[in-house]
Amino acid sequence: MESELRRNRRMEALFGNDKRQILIVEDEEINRMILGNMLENQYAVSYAADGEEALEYIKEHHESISAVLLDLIMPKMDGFTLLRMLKDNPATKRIPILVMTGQKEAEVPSLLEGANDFIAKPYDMPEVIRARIGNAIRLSEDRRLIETAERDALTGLYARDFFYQYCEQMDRNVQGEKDAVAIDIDHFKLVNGLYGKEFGDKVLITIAETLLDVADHNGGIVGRANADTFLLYQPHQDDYGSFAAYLNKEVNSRLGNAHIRLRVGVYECVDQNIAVISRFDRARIACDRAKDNYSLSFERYDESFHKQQLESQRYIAAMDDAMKEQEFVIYYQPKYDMTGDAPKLGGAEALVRWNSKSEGLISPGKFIPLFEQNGLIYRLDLYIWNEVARQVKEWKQKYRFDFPVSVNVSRIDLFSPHLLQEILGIISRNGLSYRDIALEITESACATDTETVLAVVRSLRDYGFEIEMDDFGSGYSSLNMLSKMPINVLKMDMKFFQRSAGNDELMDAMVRLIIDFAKVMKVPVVAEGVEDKEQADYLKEIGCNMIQGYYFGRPMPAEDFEKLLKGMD
Amino acid sequence: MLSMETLKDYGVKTNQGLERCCNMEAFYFKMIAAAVGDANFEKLGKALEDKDLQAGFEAAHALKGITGNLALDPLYDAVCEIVEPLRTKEDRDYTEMYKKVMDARDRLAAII
Repeated sequence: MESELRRNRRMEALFGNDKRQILIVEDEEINRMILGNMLENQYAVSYAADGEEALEYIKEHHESISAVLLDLIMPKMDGFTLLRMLKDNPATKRIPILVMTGQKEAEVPSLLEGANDFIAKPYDMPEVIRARIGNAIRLSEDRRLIETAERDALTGLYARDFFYQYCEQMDRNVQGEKDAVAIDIDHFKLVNGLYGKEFGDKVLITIAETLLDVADHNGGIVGRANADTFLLYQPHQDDYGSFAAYLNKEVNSRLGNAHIRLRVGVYECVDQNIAVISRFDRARIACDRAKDNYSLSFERYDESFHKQQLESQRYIAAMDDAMKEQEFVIYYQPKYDMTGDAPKLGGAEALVRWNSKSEGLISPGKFIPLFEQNGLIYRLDLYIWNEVARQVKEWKQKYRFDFPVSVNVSRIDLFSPHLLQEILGIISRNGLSYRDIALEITESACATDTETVLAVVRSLRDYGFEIEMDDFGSGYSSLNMLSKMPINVLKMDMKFFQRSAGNDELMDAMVRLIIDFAKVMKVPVVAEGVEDKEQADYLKEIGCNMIQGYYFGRPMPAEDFEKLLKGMD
Repeated sequence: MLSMETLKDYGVKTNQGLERCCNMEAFYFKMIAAAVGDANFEKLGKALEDKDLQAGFEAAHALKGITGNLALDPLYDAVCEIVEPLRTKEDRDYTEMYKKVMDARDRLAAII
């Protein structure tokens, strides 16, 4: 509960801290004096002896009057007439009116005319009267306070929380399916920045007005959620494509041929059992998706996307604990050297698995792209590199082998200012050489911001790390960039070159092309994703140096890979 | 001489009246004096004479309010008696009722 003190401060801020003014309308002077005597310590009291005099006074002072105490039976204009006039006038209807009467029968008609309370005659004790007046004033000021908070000051739309409450009210009062719609402005900050806040405000007001017209037409309500997001709750509409198009066209034409792009996200036929706020979260998720699709300015919310988002959020939240609990487990997939008569173990790629206590085994395809999106991948990669280095050190002490174990380096990692130091630290702490760990970098990591990436990769290679270009042929790199890339190994993933009826020749040709390209660059080729003997034989025949894939070995736990090392010895 | 004692003797519920006047004795006495001299007593008499029952009701109603608030019970009771038939514009002889009102007022005036 809000403390009285704080409430008073808030009231003062809104209504000032002078004595509140009340008007006593009573024809009998003695009664006026008795009441005035009761109230003048607390209020600034004014008097009128009849309805007409009161009306004149109120017309001039309605802004400052906090309450009117009104006698009913008076000459010239009686209390009922005055009451009706005050309540009919928008400027005065907020003023609480306490009717003074000794007649019980007068109470109902007074209430019907809008009286807020009664003061009995003969008068109650002064404290009772003061309390009744105080309550009436407080109720009316609270109401004004609510009205102030209820509306967004700029657009006059409902503020968010009130909007949600009105949605609930609409659920109760209006039958049928309803849609939650979120509307936001593409690059609104840019609009503000380019054209100034004044124009930005004009945009917001125009959108609000347009939406109000739409809502009036469709029987919906509109609120403003934050800076540039508007919410609309309305009976179900069939065609949101046209809706979004209309909205865009109308707003821009009202603004005078502006180029504002509005995105519309719709959660259609909402589940009325879930909280209103969640319904609009869904509409906003859809709205965010419309961001990615420039050709279409509206998106529908769909359940699977939402589930995916929730899942992502769970994964992100769980990552820290998962590292502490060692839920991330490293698997090793062997690479076989095909250059001799028989395939020979010639390397391994370290791959991470997330064995979550709460979620079970989570596919790297789910969490790696997610962690790449938000940058968490760097911490996970550091963890993996440390773990792999520790493992390689242990194996080096037990077995003799001279190939590196490869780890993946995400594009995000390449932008960390501490990357080089971290990797060098890992190598030296484990007493390894730079030849013991190879770094796999995906081709797509090199596609943008080439200069930065090239510089980092070059310095890594200059230290002696073997750089493997992962997923070669799947990205968008230019040949020019590839020729500059300081790489030691090309890796191509056979899943990008799946043979199927009709394209055998083309796929085979592309694989040969990559191998030829590697020969020109004088780097070996590793084919991964090799699943059968036929594929393996063909790759060997055309000069592929190494093969990694289910055909030779799946990614396996460290103990299993250790058996392979032992066998080699 | 007007005092709490003499008022009580007359039949005033002085506690109530005084409380409504925020326990300000002088103010209370001043209001009582004003009430005794209120023009509505005469207005009521004139209205009854003229058979103007509406004006009579308004005057009596005003007196009821004042005397009630000051807790001048004997006077208040007399006024209440006349105000109700006047409210319904009852066509009757009000002489006796009015006399009661005026007697009560005169007795109070005598204290003052």
